[in-house]
Amino acid sequence: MKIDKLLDPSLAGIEKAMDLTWKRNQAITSNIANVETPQYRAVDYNFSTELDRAFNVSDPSNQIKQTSSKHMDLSSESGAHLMPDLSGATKPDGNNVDIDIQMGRLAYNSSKYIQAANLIRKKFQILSNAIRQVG
Amino acid sequence: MTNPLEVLSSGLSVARLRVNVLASNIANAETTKTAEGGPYKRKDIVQVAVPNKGSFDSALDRMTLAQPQVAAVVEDNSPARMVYQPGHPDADKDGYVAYPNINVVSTMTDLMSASRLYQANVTAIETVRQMSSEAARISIRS
Amino acid sequence: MAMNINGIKAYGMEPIKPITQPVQEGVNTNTTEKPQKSFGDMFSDAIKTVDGLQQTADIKSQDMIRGADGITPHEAMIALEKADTAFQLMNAIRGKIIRAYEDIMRTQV
Repeated sequence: MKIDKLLDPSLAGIEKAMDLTWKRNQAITSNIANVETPQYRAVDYNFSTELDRAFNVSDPSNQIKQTSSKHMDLSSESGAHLMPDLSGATKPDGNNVDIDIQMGRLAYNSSKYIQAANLIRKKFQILSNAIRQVG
Repeated sequence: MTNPLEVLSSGLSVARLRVNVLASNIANAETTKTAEGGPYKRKDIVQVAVPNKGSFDSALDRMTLAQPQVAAVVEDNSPARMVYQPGHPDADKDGYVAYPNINVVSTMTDLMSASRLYQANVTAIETVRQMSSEAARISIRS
Repeated sequence: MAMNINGIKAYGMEPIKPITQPVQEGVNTNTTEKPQKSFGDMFSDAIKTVDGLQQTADIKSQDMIRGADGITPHEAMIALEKADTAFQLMNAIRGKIIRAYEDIMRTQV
């Protein structure tokens, strides 16, 4: 009986979401910093399905699948590879970063990270309170 | 992993240098004589991407998640723009004055764009700081 | 007069099982582990888990402070919280066990 597995199965999903959004943030910030670098090609991580799955761990209909760790694909990094980001047009100097798209992505991605952080904080608070009540 | 703040700081430095160079070009668009003799020469920056330090999943990742850097500030050595102004103190024996090869209008546009990009880096830095700050708050008990 | 245990069952109660007997299969329905463990074993497993979590939290905190490569801002914080919560839980369980034991010791037979 592992205590940390007892605590809250959905914690793992939210933590994974934070890992993924932090990773994506690296691609976005590289793109923004290099928006004027000739020949630089924009990149992105493509793991929106992984992200959805990570957050859906707390979906009640998924509870049954959690009892076996084999059912949760959270340990595999299958979707978390750097890929070319083709959202922007290529400029004459070979650079294809669209700053407006990147800034929009920055805002969206960072809000996901912050949401996850707040969720985790709340969950730990709830756990702590619950333990204090019982103890 | 990159350090996003490091990457963005590089971006900021490069953007700032670009703004300075463009501003210098505009300010000197009519400078017909410099200390070295001859008209002001239009400057430009040569910007490259350098790989990050640190560990990455693959060499490809290291190359693609790059930081910008200014490799050099170069001068435009193309022939000067000659304007016929016989009374001008810097006129040559044929009455022509050599002017810098600077298009003020397009340089202004470039400057505005460079300024926006500088601002974008500032916003991005602020966003990353906010993310770290929220992560740090995970331990707070209200 | 012998105590009629079946009479207790008629009221919907189960006769008390001695504590020293290992937990039997079929009675404990919410653990997936089949092997029988005493409270002592389960508790020392718990202590080891909590200790492991605390060590992980220490290492990650150090990494974070050193600015080591590969550490994310949230990793260390989450590790700390897990260790803390697990420790609290273990303490609460320990408290309950001790109080249950004391209750039983106080019971007049």
